[in-house]
Amino acid sequence: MLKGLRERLHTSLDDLDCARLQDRFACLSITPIADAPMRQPIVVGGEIKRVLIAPHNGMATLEIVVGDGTGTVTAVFSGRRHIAGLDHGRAVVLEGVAHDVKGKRVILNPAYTLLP
Amino acid sequence: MRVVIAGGGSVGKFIAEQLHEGGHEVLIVDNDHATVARALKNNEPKGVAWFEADACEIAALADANLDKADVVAAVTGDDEDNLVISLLAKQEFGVPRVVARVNNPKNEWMFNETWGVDVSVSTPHLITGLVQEAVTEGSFVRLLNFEGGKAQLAEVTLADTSPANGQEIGELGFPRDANIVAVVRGDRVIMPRPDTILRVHDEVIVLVTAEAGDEVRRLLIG
Repeated sequence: MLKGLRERLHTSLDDLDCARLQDRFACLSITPIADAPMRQPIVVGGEIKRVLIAPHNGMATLEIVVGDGTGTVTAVFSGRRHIAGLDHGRAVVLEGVAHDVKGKRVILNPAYTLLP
Repeated sequence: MRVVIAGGGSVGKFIAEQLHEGGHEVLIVDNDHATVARALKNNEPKGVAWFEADACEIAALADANLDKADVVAAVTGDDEDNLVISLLAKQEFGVPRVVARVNNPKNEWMFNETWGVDVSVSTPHLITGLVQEAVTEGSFVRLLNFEGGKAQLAEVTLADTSPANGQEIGELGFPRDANIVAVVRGDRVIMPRPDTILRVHDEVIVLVTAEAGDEVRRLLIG
């Protein structure tokens, strides 16, 4: 127990968060984001770390960054400013095809499932 | 590169032929039985594979191995089809580069990343640009748009009144977001260097972002 406490005191918040997220999503049968292949249908999950309204060419676009401790993936919903339930901190499962945009994993208009 | 072309009309066939000659692997998808049969019978364009299917269907695109394609060109004569093909290529297959043809210039505003289009080509706009280029000196003529309009290739023919006449390119004080990519003087194309001196009637081809456009106009047109 003491060892556990020492670990907790000496690890950075980011590392603890990563470990917590990995525990949380380990039991679901989903691919860890870091292992998810590009350009193939994937199912990934994680917590919403960032919600961004980023208009592209005057069109509303909602960008949501999801992380599971192994990596992050950006879900882009075109033509939307807000999607009920997709808020900061929520856990979601995303289904879609990721492609590379300047080194980022991006899924365009994925199917999403909100987790309790 | 592996290129999939949707639409086997004259545009699709021409692109396919050019790309095949350039050493690329090309597949044309078209849903018209007569077109595909005729092309296969005449073996044209040479060396290009054909696939008879509706490119607006995900299953057809999967059969065309879009997941392995490097580029998809949606060049049918129907803008709705081109948009659907572009969106599916990007969303369902993550194709790195999607090029789409705009048939009706009124639809051009939709051909952007929202619909999965990386580059759009609008023939009417191109023609307007070229006509303007022929008749006007000292004006900013848009030739091609990139990145959904964020960057554009434009051309300015220097008029007598241009403040850039007789100046070295390096001394113009061009903004960071703009670049002179070529200078056409008579029949010659000149590689722009910092010490290249611009002259009246030079056609200056520039690559600019939307923000830098005004500054470039000021420098080249006055």
